[in-house]
Amino acid sequence: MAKRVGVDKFLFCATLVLVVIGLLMVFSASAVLSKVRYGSPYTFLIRQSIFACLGLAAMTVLMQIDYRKLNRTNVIFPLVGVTVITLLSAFLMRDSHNTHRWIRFGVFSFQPSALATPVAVLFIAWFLQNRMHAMDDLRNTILPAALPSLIFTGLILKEPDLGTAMVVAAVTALLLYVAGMRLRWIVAAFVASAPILYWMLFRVAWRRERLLAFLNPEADPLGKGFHIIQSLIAVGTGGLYGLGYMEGRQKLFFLPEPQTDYIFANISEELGFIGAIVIVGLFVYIGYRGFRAAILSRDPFARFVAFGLTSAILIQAFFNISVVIDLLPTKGITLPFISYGGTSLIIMLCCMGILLSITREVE
Amino acid sequence: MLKDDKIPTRRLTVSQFVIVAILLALTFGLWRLQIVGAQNYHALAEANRIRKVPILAPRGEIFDRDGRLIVTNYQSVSCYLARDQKSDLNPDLPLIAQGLNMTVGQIKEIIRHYRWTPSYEPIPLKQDITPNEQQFIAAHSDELPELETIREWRRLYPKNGFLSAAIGYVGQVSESMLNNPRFAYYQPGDVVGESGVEESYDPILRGVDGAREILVNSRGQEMGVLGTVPAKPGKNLRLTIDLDIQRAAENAMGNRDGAVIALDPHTGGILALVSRPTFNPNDFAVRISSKEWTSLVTNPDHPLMDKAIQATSAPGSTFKLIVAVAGLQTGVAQNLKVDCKGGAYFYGHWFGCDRAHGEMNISSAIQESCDTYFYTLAQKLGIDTIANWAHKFGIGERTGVDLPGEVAGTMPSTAWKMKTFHQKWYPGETISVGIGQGAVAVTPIQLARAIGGIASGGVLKRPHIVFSSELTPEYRRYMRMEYPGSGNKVVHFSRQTWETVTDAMAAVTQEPGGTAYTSKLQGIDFAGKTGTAQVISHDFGSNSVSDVMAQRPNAWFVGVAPRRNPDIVVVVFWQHGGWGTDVAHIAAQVIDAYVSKQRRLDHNLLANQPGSNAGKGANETSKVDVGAIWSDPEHPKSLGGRPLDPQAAKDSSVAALYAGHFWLKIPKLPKP
Repeated sequence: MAKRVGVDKFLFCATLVLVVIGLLMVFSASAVLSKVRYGSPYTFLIRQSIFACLGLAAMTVLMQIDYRKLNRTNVIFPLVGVTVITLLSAFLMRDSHNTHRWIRFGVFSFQPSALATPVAVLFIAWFLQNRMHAMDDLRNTILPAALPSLIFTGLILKEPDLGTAMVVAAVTALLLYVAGMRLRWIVAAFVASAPILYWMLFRVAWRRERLLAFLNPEADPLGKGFHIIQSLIAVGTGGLYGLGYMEGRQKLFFLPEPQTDYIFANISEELGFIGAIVIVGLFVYIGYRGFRAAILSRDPFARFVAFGLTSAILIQAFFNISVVIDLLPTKGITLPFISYGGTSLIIMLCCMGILLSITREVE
Repeated sequence: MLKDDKIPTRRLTVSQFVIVAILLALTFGLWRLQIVGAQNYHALAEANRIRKVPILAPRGEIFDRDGRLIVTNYQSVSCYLARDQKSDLNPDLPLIAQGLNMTVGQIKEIIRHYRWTPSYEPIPLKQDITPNEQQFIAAHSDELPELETIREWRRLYPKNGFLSAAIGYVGQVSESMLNNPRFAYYQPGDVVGESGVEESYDPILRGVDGAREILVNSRGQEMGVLGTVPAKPGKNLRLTIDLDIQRAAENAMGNRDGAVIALDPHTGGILALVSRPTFNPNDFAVRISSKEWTSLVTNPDHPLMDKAIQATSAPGSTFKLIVAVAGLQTGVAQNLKVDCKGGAYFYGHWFGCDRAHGEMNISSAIQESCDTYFYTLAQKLGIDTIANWAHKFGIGERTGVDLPGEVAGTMPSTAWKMKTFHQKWYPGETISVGIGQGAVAVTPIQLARAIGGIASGGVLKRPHIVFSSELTPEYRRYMRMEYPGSGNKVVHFSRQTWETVTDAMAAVTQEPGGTAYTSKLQGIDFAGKTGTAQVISHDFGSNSVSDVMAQRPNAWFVGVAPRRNPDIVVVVFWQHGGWGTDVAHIAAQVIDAYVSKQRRLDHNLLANQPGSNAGKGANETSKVDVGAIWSDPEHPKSLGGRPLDPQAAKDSSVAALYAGHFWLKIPKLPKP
């Protein structure tokens, strides 16, 4: 057994820095919008501050708890069950634009899809920790390990939320790959899902439009390509040093939801290339510390969990930033720790709490 | 732990490096966008402008009680400055100033004024621009993309200040108003009612401005519409004002300083409201020049004041009616006989009367306005009894009229003097209060409600200029709170008192010896009371005209028709009008116009028919007595009418008003 030492202070600090930058940028991005919608520029900031306090408290508690307490049937299965039930109950909620992404009880609202990735990671880690020798067994190892992920992905696709579904699928595939699954099965799975993906992308009118807009935003600069062009303008005007904190102009009704999906565009505009690099660098650093924990840990469950959660954070950050700089078609994915949104922030900080708990065992 | 169950570290390491490498690839993407392409995107961002173009809501129109239009709107073109079109506007200012006939300093002042509004919101530069200026803007759209034109609604008021005191005016909301929480609703540049009905009913009259959010390129050309919120026009308002009576009152008042107010005592509805001197509210509809504004606010005759509700003056002898009610109700006046010798000594001082009236009782003292009688009565009653009755009739209190800026006036009493001056009341002060002098100060509207109330048997109504049926219950409550006052009241006094006082009022105008007998209206039960108020130093407007004029007393007349349960009460307040009886003629003209109109109305003619023709043959025609009022500058006496204003009739250049009677033959309607 590895000796118990303190949590990874560097990882802890990097997370804290990202959360604080997030609060500052949420205020900058939302102040005008908030003033218009609610009459006060502080509405989004105050809410996000409350979420951050709750999330940091949860993170602190989780990092004190031994992560092994999660490595039990009577923890993993209820978690999977809760995720499926909340995802299903979202369909019972009346939601705007015929989508079912939220569960609301009065003032409290919750996005169940945010639970899917960490729960899938925990389940795969729990299931595979003793089956590494049987990674060639498709029926008894691979399919059962991927089953919750497939259910989550299916339900999230139905919401519909293609972006989050892709994060769940990507993290699952990555975990199965590092567990030793044959590469050609992954390739086969990708080929098999290609028609479904094609159908999802091109038979759903608005997705096709988004995709076409992604490929050629200039074709319809005021319609479908509007958001992409506005986002690129925001990033482009930032230059090396940016326009300065609070000085961004694209957030004034050009960027859609500048405090959530497009907050990175606002950061790039106001803080410039330097600010954007600092954010990317912090994520890379979190990746370095998280992967280091995964490699140094001796517990296979811990290795899976550390690797899975770290890659989930990085993949989500990558997707979000790629959308902003037009490397991927637009989809609603938040930037971890920074974007406005209670569910995303609190669950991400919980993941970080588990990751920090694992680092206690690492030199 | 089985050896086989270890994760292959190689795959972990590979995945780790792939993920980090992909993330680092983002850095390259960012570098390409932000460093290499910065110039390109700067240009795009420059071109990328959102513009909020206001769609202004027209204010509600204002109508008189018969639905005749008083205030409406017209469309005019205004020039706006879109400050975000140029990074530096200063080089363009001389050209803009030249084209718009402004000075660079004026433009800079406007830009400074709006410095806190977001730069993508255009600011008003010049309103109601001429066609030449519009052409200038159109011709220079390439060099001066920052200039924009907008069609706006403007207020159109009656000419020559007709009804201006009651209607008020609108103007741009001022900075000090914006800092007041009451005006939190308004945005800079909004038009807001600043006096009269325009102010008190602003929430109803003002609509809700809409807006178009458009996307424009760097040359200000519209590229697309992001959203449109249509404007909601303001609601129309129907006033209790009757334009016929208002016109008669305006004509009768001429250029005299002061006020005329006519009320319907049954409801409190204001039929006419005149304040002199007047102002032209159309000057305010377009931004008023500071010179005009200064001349209006510094004019010693206060043209912006609504004197019907804001001027206070001693009521003079009109106050005797209230003292009379107090005297009759306390049982003092019935048997009080006073022998007037042109004045009397009270507490060692001589209090004069205008002449020796001889023996007076309460009726003759009202009819001939004998001061000696009322000195004596006041002495017997004491100040607090008089003050008590005066308060019952709302003297020294706001009436709660729905117009802004009403003044309360003063009704002295022992308590009032102790509270205000910390002095005790001297009995000698009571004597002059008995004839409406001393510290008593009333507004014309207060006096109209009080005397109308006496003639109505003690029922006082809250005066109002907008039919309350036009308002929602919430708005009525809001008005009561915003415009507090004593409102509706009932004062109890005996039938004998009512008859004695109203009969005496009728004698004032209808019997020889009455102080306003020259204003007698043939065939109309016109009753009233004259009043002359000594102007004392602290009195309103005393430094306005030459010293001789300033020392002339204020003339009052309060008239009702008919004498009991009147349909109209008129108060005329003529500042420095002197002792003449002209003031009664003004009221007589208003009442004559009112009665003539009532008699003209079809339903009145038909209603008269059966009564006057009972028992006559079916084919006979009937005659109906019609009172009429007309002006005929060519042949002043052609129709045999009587000039309403003898002075105006002598001046042939003025179209004087004439009143008279006609007999109209009306064929009897066949039985249904």
